Amino acid sequence: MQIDSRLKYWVIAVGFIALVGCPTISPYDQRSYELATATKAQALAVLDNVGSPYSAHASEVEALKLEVEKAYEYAKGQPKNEVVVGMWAEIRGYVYSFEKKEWQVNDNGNLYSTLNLWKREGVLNVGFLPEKKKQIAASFNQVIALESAKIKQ
Amino acid sequence: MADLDDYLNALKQPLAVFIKDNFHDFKSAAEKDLKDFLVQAKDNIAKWTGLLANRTINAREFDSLLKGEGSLGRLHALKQVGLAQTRWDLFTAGVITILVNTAIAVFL
Repeated sequence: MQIDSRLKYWVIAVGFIALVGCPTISPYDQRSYELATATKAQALAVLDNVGSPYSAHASEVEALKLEVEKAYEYAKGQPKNEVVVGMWAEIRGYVYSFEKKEWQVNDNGNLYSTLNLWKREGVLNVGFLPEKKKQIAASFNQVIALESAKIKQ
Repeated sequence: MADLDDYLNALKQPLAVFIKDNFHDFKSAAEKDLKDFLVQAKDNIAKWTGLLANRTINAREFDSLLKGEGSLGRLHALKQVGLAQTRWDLFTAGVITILVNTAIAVFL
């Protein structure tokens, strides 16, 4: 009788663990990793030009944004991938409003915000470039590090 | 015939090893990541203030760098959330594997 009672608790415990055992974040995805690393390289290459007129590089900026949008949309298509989607939102110039509970366009100093600054100013100071490149590279590195750390199935 | 006490005793060692091998370093790694970021941010802001003072960068670029550091901080935080989720998934998957494998070893 005692064993029956304990067995019941064990069944409940195993059932609970199986339930909470459902993944909370999407597993590692090779395509996500490749999109993040390729877009990082492209972003840094485009930023190398901020010392020359934006108008001469507008098409490269648009091409870069298209790749970022692809990566963002791909991340959105993955189930349980809200954290990575949020990271791409930051890179795309959005900040989460806890008050309104939504992502809002924000001049947050990340990639899109920097490209907009370049567009407004026409040309940026050469001394600004290495500092901003380090910051943008580090931003992409957070996405890449998380994707790398995900469970490989 | 093995009973539940045998099963519970058999679980102790593999669970302890699993937790020790996989999770003892997680909290310190997360704290180190945050601490390193804050130290780096402090150094960066001091450097950018110097660049602004000697007019290597202008006020709008300085503002962009400051805002960018805030964005980078949020990305660090999001990464830590994602890493914590990954660790939790590893934990539950590992515990289930140990429960099943130990049950097979003890009862079958």
